[in-house]
Amino acid sequence: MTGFLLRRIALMIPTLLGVAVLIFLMLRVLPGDIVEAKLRGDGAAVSAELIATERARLGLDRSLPIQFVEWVSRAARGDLGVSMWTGQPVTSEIGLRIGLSLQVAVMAALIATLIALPLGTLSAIYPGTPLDYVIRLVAASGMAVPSFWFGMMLILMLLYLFNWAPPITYTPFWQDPLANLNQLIWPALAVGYRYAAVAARMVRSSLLEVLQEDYIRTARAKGTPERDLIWRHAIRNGLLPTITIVGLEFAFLVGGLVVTEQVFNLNGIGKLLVQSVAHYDYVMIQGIVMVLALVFVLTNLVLDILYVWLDPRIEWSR
Amino acid sequence: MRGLTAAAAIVLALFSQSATAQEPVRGGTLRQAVLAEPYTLDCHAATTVYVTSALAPHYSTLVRYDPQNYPKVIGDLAENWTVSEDGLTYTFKLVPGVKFHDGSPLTARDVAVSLERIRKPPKGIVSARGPLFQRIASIEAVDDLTVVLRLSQPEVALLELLANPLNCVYSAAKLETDPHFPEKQVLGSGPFKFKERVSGSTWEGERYADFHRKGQPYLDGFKLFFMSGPAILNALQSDQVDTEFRSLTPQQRDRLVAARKDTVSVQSGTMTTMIKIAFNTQRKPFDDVRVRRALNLAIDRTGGSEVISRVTFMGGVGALQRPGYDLAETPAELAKLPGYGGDIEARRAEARRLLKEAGVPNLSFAFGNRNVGEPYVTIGTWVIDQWRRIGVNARQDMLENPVWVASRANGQFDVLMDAIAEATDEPTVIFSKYQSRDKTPFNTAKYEDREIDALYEKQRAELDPAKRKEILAQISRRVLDQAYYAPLFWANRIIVSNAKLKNWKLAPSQFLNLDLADIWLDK
Repeated sequence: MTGFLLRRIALMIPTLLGVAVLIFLMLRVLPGDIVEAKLRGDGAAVSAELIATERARLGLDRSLPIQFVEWVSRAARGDLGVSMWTGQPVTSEIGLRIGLSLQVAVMAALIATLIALPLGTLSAIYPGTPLDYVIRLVAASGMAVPSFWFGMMLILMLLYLFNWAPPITYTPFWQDPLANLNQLIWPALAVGYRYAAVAARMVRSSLLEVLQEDYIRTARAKGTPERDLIWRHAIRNGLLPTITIVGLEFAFLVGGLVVTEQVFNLNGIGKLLVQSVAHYDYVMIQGIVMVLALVFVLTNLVLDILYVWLDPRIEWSR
Repeated sequence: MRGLTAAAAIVLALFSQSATAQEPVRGGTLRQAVLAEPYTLDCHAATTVYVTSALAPHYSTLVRYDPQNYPKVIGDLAENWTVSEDGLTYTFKLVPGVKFHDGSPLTARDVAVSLERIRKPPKGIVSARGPLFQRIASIEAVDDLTVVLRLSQPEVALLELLANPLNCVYSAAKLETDPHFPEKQVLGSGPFKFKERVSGSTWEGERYADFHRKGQPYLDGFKLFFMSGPAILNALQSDQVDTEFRSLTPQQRDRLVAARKDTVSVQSGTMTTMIKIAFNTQRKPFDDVRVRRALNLAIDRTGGSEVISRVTFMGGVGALQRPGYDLAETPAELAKLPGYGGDIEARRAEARRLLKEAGVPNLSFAFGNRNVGEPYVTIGTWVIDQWRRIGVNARQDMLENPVWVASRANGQFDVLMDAIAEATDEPTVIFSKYQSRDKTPFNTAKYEDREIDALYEKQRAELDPAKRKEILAQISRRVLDQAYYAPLFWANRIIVSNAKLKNWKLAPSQFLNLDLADIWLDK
């Protein structure tokens, strides 16, 4: 197992390096200039000399290879640089928000799993029945409705019924669990619904496939009770593709809740990323993308471990 | 006798009600939604209302606009002032005993050094309003309580130029140690001390007990919540914030009033924010005045106002000055300007003729617009339809903010949506943007027009308001005759606040009345 983990961790390095090269180059070829945007953006009378001075201060006058090497070598030591817009360390800006984004992603994943597993399983066990149709309808609606729109509807409903909306500032869970959940349960529900719909469809289709397998037929022929058949033999094998979907969706949610965060006024990573793009804050964008890439590769690592645990046919050596 | 008694009772009741209504109440925290965070803590470098919202409560200025009586200028740190007969020397006497929030005394030297930093910034320091202080020849602290400003030429708008809420007074001692200190630390002498900032979320200030205006501020503190889009409206409706001082749209106002009824109050009026079209005079075919005139003539501002003002907070019809401002054109005068009066169909026929004469009867071009839905994209879509009616095909290119900013500065566009948002109506500020490209970085259309430059300088020294108005009208006529720009709409500001918020009066600029010193919250 140790060898497996070391190999996987070693493979992360070229992946992250590839992401670093791509994001660095992509930002440099896009039109626009942070110094112009910051100093002249809203009409300040700024001389060309001052623009050049600021560019030099931010290191933008140096060659691209030098800028890249400096940034990567610092990032390797955990220093993602300083925001070109706010002057604050990128790590502290991300650190301030990552807890909230991770919590929403975890809560949405939990909600999705709690909804998707029973619904998907029931749908697979009773295919073609009214129950199956209802569940499929619910799942199809979940995929068709954008999360941010569902979130807006949730807030409007709360305002209409109770003249109340979720709190607009974040309270960490360990400070006040009730206040924390009061704010985050709603976006988690809004996102979790779509997430659940995707996962439920995956549970249904993979279970339907597994239930046709020879070993299930054999177990059934040997008189294994239906409940044991489903829980001990079918679900465990049927979970592999579902876990892949749940894992990848989780990684996406950490930085992908851009509009939902704005709807619920959440101070999360997605909102920070959008603001940084609007400001052309290269250093901040690079830092966020690297952190999100790290979340993706770590999630993949966890998924790989789960695969081996769920399916004994997959060996640690692979 | 009975009638007299009843009348007296009514007068007394009204008087006592009024007295009660005017009696400030102490305590409470104002919760304010703000669209964006300040990108700098240095007032002198800043030009946005977001920076003003955060910093104005922490800083004092030498003079300020009267919050109850715009555009009258009153003292802030200045107790009084005198002006020499030739109008070239201003002597300001300061309020004694003013202290910065760290307890250090604020003297005339702090005022002089701060104003000098704006007028002539040290190397590496950004001063957004430096060019407007060109006529100040020297700034001198004569003693601890006297500042003297000497001008090279008369500047009729000097007090208004000084009253910008972002002309903050800093500690001279701190600036000597580090000229960049205002970028890192909030240390003023305003009504509120800086308390806490949570990046991306909130900004808090607390009451400064030693504030120099006795009795003020009335609030214990204020808290800004940085939020955007629908979140602002939801927060207002659920009473999680008391107000948003930029502007809401008419639909948003209606929704809030319907939901909260008499627990909110509404104020509205025109604002010193304008959207206009800039034609790049350095590019073909927009270097041809006939093409520019045609595109200006085709726009039906009066008809468009009815539609635009229903769906956005824009819609005021005016030329280069805010409609309703004392020195702006009256409706009758406005109707004589190109693109404002007469029959729209006749104007469009003339526009088609001009395009044909210029050799571009089927003109097609890229129209750069800021990728901000409300009001930019809404108005951009509308104006494209106006041009379509004279056979012009404009393709709207949505530009993200940095690209839009760079396009404005560098002239990388054919036709571009442009905007003005100022802290004042003062023509020396507003018209500075219409000078030639070598005089101002705000000349988006990239033209050179010495006639406008001369008129601009002339109006700066004209003491007679009627004569000054005529000079300003000449500038407006010149800009519109040459069609360097096509002004579209001025903003109609709509503020919906918690009805408990008292003594806040709507000013025609979103930058004003943000220091929160004289407002209070009813219990």
